[in-house]
Amino acid sequence: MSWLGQKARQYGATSARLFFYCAIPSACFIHTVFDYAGEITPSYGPSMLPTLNMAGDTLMIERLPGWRSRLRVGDLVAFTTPYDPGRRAVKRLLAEAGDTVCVDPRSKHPAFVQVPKGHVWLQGDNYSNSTDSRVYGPIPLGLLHGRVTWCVWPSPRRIPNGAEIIPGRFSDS
Amino acid sequence: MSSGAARPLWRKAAIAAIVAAPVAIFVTDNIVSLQMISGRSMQPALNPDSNRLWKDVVLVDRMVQGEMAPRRLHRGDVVTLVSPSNPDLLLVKRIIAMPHDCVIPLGKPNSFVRVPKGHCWVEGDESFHSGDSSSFGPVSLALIRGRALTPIWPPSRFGASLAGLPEWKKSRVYPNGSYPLTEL
Repeated sequence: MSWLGQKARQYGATSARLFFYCAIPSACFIHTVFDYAGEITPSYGPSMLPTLNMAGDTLMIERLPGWRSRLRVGDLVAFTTPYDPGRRAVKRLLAEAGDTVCVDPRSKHPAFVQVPKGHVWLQGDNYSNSTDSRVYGPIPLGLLHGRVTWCVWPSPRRIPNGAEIIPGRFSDS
Repeated sequence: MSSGAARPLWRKAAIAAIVAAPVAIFVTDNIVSLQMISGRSMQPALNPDSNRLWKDVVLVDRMVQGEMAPRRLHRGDVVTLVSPSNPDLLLVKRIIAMPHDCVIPLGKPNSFVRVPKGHCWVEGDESFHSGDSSSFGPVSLALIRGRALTPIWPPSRFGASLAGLPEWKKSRVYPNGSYPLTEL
């Protein structure tokens, strides 16, 4: 690697210059790309079985400008949990503002929650083992981080929108 | 980096701008930034009537986001937060209560609200003109984007202190559900 040192000396690059002119702006550039375009982040936990692996999946999250208006019911979204600001989670968007959600259709007296303006209802695919909007209520859109589009490792696959809208009227008789 | 003499000035300036842009974006998102305040909900601490038509510009400490919020924020801090009803709107309010405190809401003096874990109760100093926790309840600490330090514009307001909780609000806050703040 001595030719690299020779080239560096020829261009007058000292380690201090390399640090300030290359390392810091590169790190900030990567950080800016993560904040405004998309990032790759690991996830783990059983709450999104069978969609995501319990032992860990590395996901690509996109947040190109305007991603909030492109969110649809059925998308997987990454967000910060409201009760613990240091913790992030990935769940599926089941209802938007104005929709009414039936929290547990199997119970004798199901509860209905109307999602307020500016909020969404997020629920994990593994209903039996997921702490989500059924526990902490609708989540403000300001807590959302981005939309999960791909799983890149260990089994690369696209994460599609998983919603199937069944038309008809919900009857409570 | 070659020696500077060979490159024209505009190229050096362009390279410097390209190198500095991500650093500037990083600093303004995560370390410190400026914020112009609109509205009257924080009078008289921000945008006092003496400003006439000028809007305050405050220096905002951005190192209070995410997991740093519960440690670095205290009752009485003025914070910028994303509105729970509209994610494109940034509000500037004062934190009245932190997690596990009990608050007597304005307008409902015979009831109290216990602030859940990870949330806070925010109010504008000028409650009459303010959409705050009195209307939308406790807000998650994760919605907070920064802590206002001091106004830097207009020049007459430079370095003005944003003070702490007004005395009349302290009697409505019971830290950890114990005695009201005025008695501690």
